Amino acid sequence: MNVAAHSTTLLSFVTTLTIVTASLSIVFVITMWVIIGRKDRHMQRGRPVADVSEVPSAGDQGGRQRAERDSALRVRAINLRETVRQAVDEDPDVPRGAKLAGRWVLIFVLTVAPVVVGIIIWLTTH
Amino acid sequence: MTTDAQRRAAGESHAHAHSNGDNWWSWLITFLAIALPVLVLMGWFSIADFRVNGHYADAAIQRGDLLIPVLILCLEAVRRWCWEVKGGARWLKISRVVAPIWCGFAAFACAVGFFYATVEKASANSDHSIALITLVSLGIAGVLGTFAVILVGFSMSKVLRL
Repeated sequence: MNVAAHSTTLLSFVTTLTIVTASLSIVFVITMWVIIGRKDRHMQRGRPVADVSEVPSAGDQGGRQRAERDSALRVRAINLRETVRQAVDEDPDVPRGAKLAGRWVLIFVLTVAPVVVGIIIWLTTH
Repeated sequence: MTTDAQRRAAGESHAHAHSNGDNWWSWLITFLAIALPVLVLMGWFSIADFRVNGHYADAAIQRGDLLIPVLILCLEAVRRWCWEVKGGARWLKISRVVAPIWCGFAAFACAVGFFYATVEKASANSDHSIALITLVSLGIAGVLGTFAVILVGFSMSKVLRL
């Protein structure tokens, strides 16, 4: 067995593997960043006014009432969204096993993808 | 006049800022283990030559001198993803499995590169491969590890219900 040849093969393969993994990780981080940004904007829109008493009341009764109404509406919107989310999570038409299986399939694909793509690229270039 | 609630909130905010700062510092110090040797090598010979001289830093990277610091950075990124990033969002659960595995690939590549650099006879191609493994693994650990630190900061500040 030619150890030197095998180690050279291994070195060139791991080089390909790292390049593919780096490309995937950059795409992954950008995607996650977009998801976080969307979630953050969503949360900012649904955030209730923390303390309505902070709104100046002297001579601005209308402003205070508007703030109270606005806060109540936002709380209702959050509750409604939470109810919908729970309803989707507990949907009997979609079994929990299928959701878990879907997640693990995605994890498997993302984990195996760099190895498979690395092997394909390495085979085509050597 | 400050109330107890305001004082408590200020204390929590200070504690959060402190722990988040520590989080960033410990991550940046791990980076310094890689950046400092490169900067010293560049700075030392650049001063001697009166011009920017990256030759020795380049040679060190091609010899595989930085593979072990990069390997440690990869393992630190794995630790952050496994033990520090918390949260139950679906996409985060997937990330907490996938990101450490990718960092593990980078760590494995560094280990193979280090084995090759120490045991095998160097050639022009192997030098380029080792330099490439060092830089690309640094990129993987840098991108994923920094993202983990940002996520830990977010979950601390409760900006997101992750």
